[in-house]
Amino acid sequence: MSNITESLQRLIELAGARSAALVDSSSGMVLSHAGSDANLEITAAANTELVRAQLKSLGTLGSKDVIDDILITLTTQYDIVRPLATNPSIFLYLAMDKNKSNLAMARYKVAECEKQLEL
Amino acid sequence: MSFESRLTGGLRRKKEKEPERPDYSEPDFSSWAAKLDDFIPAAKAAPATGAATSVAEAEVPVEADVLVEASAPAAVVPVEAPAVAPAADDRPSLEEVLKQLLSFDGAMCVAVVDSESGMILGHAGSGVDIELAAAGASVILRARLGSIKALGGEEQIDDVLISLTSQVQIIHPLPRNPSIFTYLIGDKAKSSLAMARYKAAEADLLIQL
Repeated sequence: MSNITESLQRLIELAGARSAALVDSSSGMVLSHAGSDANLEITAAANTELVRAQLKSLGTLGSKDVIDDILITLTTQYDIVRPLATNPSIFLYLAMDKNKSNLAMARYKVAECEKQLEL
Repeated sequence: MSFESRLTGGLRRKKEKEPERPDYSEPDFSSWAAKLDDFIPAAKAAPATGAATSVAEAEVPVEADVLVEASAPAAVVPVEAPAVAPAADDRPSLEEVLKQLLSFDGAMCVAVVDSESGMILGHAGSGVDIELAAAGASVILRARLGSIKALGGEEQIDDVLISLTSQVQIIHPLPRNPSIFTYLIGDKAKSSLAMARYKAAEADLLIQL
C-alpha cells in the first residue's frame, strides 16, 4: 500500500523544512511532493544531475558502493538527497532552511522515511 | 721553597690566567649584533625557498665557530633565527594542512582539487585512487553549481557530504576561492561525517594558495 503522501507529509513537518519530494533521477521529474517551494521542479532537476554525476563517478572507479545519502549545504538551505534502497534510480529530496533546521535530525528522519516508503 | 715564594707563585699564576678568559665587554657583543643584520634577511626568505633555508643553516656553522669565544646570549640568537623565521611568516605549507586534514578518525585520503580542471593540487593518505575520485568529485560539484547558475540562483555551495556504503566523502569549496575545494574521504565504519566536515572547515583558514 503506497504511503508516499504520508511520508512526505511527515518530512515537511520537520522544523525548517521547505519542501519534500520523490524524484526520478533518470528523468529528473518529480513523482510526488509536499511543501511550498516554488523552485522545487528546478532544484529536483539540479539534484538529479548531482546523483547522476555521483553514480557515474562510482561506475568509473569500479566501486560496488551504493549512495546512502548526499547532503548539500548551500548559502541559505540544506538539501538532503537519499536514493531508495529498493529502487536507486528514485530519490527522496528534502530542502530545509539552514537557520531553522537541524541537519543531523533531518538526515535521520529522511533515512527512517526511506526505509518505510512503499511505492 | 719558602711560604712567600709559594704565595707569589700562586698569585703570578692567577695573573697569567686572567687574559685567557673570554671578554664579556659590550663592544664584542655589538659586533655580533651587526653580523646578525646580515644573517636575518636570509632567514626570513627561508619559507619561500628551501634553498634559502639551507643557506641560512650553512651560515650557522660558520658563525658557530667564531661564536665559541663570544658571550652565551649572542651565541644563542643566530642559531634561533632559522627556527623563528617560518613562524614569523605564519603560513603552514600545503603539506602540513593536508596532514591536518587527514587527522580525523577513519581518514583515508584527502586532497585539494581544482574543480575546473579536476586536477589535484596536493593530496595525502592512501587507499583510494585519489586522482580519479577527485575528477569525479569535480564533476559532481560542477554539476550542482551549473544547475544553480542555470536557474539564475546565487547560492554558493558550502559543502557536499556523500555517504556511500563503505565511505564518507566531503567536498568543501574554499570560501575565498570556490573553484578550489578540499576533498576528504573517510572509512564509514571508523569516521564521523560531522568530524570530517569540521576538519574541512577548519582547514579553510589555513590554506593559502
